[in-house]
Amino acid sequence: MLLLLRAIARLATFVLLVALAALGLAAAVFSIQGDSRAVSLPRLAQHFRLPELRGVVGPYLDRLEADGPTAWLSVGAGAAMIAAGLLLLAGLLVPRRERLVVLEEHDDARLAARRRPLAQVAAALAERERGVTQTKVRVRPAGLGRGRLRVASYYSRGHSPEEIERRVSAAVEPLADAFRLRKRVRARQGERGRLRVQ
Amino acid sequence: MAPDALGVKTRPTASGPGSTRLELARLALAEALATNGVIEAVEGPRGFWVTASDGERLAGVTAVALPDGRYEIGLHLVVRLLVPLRPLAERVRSRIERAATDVGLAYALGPIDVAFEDTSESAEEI
Repeated sequence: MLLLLRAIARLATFVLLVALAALGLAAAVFSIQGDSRAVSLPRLAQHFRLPELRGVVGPYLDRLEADGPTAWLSVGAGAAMIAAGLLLLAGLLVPRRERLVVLEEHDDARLAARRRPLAQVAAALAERERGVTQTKVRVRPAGLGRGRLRVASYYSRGHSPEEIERRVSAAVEPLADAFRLRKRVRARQGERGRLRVQ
Repeated sequence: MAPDALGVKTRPTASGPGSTRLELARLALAEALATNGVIEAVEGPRGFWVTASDGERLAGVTAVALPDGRYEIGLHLVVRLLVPLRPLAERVRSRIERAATDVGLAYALGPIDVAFEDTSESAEEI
């Protein structure tokens, strides 16, 4: 979500800046002459059809001042614009999630690991357990709270899910503790023909 | 600062083939790669984790000057799967500190950041 907002905010920023630059350039060029000559501001206003626009906006503003659907529609549109602006600001200002999981940080030195190697290590630890045929791991670095380690282990027949969960949980515990990750282990029975059988 | 022949401490130059920054980065990278369990150092998808100077390019290590004159070393490593990470980082750090002391660069060595960027899954390395 934030990634999309960030992309939209960047695109909007680029488009608005280009439009602002073009308008500034046009205003500067059309300030060369005065009165209503070819390169003057009144002529620029004519090019942009501003007098006609005033004819359209004037009656609209009159309707807006009075009670009625136009006023309520404008309130809704205004609120929607404020919400869109806040979302764009969030896209620009909210920091991205730290992709590193920090193991320790002291004396300004940091020891950290990416999510991928942590997930690989957790999967390798889990798959060493007897009966586990495949493991899927998701590591979520700490945001405001602790990070999370989610382990889904598939097991072969003849094992109970409770036993697999207990053993896998014990296997990944040192890793989760070291990186201060909250762990959640789930055991699922492997489907025939889909997962390897141990 | 390094004491010269007269015992006067002098500040090293900031760049050049023999600059302290480059020497530290080179030393740190060599020591990290020589540590058992470390497979390679990586420069990252955008090539940010690199120390480059005078045509030399050291991928996977950064050396950033600190206000106190030391250099903070950053290592971005690919390691063997199932190697305990904390002891490995400690081994890398102690090797670098020892090597820096041996060549007289301990005065310039700042904090050493270690980031494990990936693991190798190949069976022969496990």
